[in-house]
Amino acid sequence: MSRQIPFLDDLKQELMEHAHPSPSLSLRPRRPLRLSGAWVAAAVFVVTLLVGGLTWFLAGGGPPPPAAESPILLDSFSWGDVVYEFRAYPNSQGPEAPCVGLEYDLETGSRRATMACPTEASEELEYASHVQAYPWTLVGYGLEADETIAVGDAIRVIITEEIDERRFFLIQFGRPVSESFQVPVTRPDGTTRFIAVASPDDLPPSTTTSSADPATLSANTLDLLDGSRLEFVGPSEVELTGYLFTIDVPGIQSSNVELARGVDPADPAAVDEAAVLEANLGNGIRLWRADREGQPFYLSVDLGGWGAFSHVGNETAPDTELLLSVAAQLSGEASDDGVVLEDYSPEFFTTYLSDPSTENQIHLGVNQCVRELIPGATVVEDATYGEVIRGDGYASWCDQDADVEVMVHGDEQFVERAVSGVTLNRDQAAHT
Amino acid sequence: MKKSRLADPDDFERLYDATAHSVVRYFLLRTGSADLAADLTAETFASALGSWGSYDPAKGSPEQWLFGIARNQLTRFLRRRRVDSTARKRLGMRLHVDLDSESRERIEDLVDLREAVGLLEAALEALSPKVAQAVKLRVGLDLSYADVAAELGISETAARARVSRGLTQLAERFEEES
Repeated sequence: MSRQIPFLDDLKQELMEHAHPSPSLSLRPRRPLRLSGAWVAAAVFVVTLLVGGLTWFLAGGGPPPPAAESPILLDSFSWGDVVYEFRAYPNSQGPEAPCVGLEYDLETGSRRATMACPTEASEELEYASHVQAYPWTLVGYGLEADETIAVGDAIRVIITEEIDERRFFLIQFGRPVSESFQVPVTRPDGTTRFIAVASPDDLPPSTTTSSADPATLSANTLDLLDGSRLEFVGPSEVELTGYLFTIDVPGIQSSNVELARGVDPADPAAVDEAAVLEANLGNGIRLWRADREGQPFYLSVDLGGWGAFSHVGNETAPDTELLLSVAAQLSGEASDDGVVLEDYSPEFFTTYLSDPSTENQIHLGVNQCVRELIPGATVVEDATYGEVIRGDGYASWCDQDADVEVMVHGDEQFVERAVSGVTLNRDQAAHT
Repeated sequence: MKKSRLADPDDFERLYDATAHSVVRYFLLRTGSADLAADLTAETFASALGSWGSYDPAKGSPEQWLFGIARNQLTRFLRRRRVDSTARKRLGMRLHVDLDSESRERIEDLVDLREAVGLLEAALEALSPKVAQAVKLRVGLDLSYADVAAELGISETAARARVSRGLTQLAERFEEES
């Protein structure tokens, strides 16, 4: 039997003080919910309750907050391998007007929730809903049987089964919902009615997107070098521009390979302004002598709309057999969606997305999570991604489910939008 | 789906009593340091207390759930090379553990440190030689990535990636064995 360890006794005492706080230790004083015009207060209250005020809650002190009891699971869905649960909660105003909330698991298993409750003010509208969880996501309730939501640019629409004569809905957009919005609902007879969404002026600060400009998000499916596919939702102005990965080249150990979209591999400038064609090996394979100190020999391979470039020799030109063996590693299927290498699968690589008109870029480190603090950067807790490294014009985080590290470089507005909006969903089953 | 959101804090106390020694031993075996083990243990229980309301009995026992959190803490530590303190900060707890000599001695008594070293060595051997070498240079010798890259004759990007992959594989191996 283990002996007593003073540290563990002290830790227990400290933990239990927080599990049984004295009144003076309560994390936040509670205000009773207002019965009218209070959905903002309700949302803040519930977020506080579920995220920050759990200790207080466990202590059982004060009147139990009615909005968090007995939530009913309405629906769940996965987005980027994170399971989101869509729940109805009793409303302090009565059972006829349940609140609706969205919860999801983070890496540590902790839960976040945001919630909307109908109020007297919102009842002037047919049914209220509001923006929550993501600035691009609307949840609400009040759909009649057989009614459908017709929002053309929505990425997803979820409508639940009827509960207490109400059907709930969730709409995720590829853009911020930054102004008052009306959800068009199509009735069974073909006519349309509208469900109004609260004005952003009424939203709790944590759920608004004041820093976001109205530029849109878009969803793209990218082919990755290893044959997996990545669904990327992010700023629509960035496009796939290239990859960087490493191959083994006899004689010089490993070499970085740049795989660039829209770059002509027959153009000397793609290697070096002063590059000279040393040999044309056919099939789009060329050897170049470049004006780079200590690294004169480069191989380029034409993949059709994509060019691959690799340093292949220092002292003398490699023999043809070696060059062809290197080129073989670089062969693959290329399209606008990306490149899939045929006979080589790099363990890790970087995928580049860039805005051609600005310096804004998003780098996706596939199969890696370096998470290195850059000078001047700090680690901040983000509701969606967990820990995010933020610096001047920079942000990075790891998406553990996709096994991708996202690194954003650019102006502050772009970085803000990327941090708020990038979603990844990787299909590794597509791996060949 | 029943959850323990309304569970009595006494349940948490019982979980602590039943598992505290195992948790600190778990970390000691994997870090070889009583101080790190204590720090990680404190953060693990703080994280568990902070999310006690989200514990779902349908997904496993409280012990399994707790060790899931412990594994996450270890993974974060291996990747970032520092112990997280987010959960303690959130609860308003002390952020640093200052072990007294008696506690340190008794924690170290929990395991044979040779066992811990053996575990680490075995885990390193399971990595590919290139990756293991990168981890040893970066973590063992505390070299910068630029120095690791120069030592191995590879780019800095490749060095970072190798270290990252190695630490991930180490964490996964520890996870499998726990």
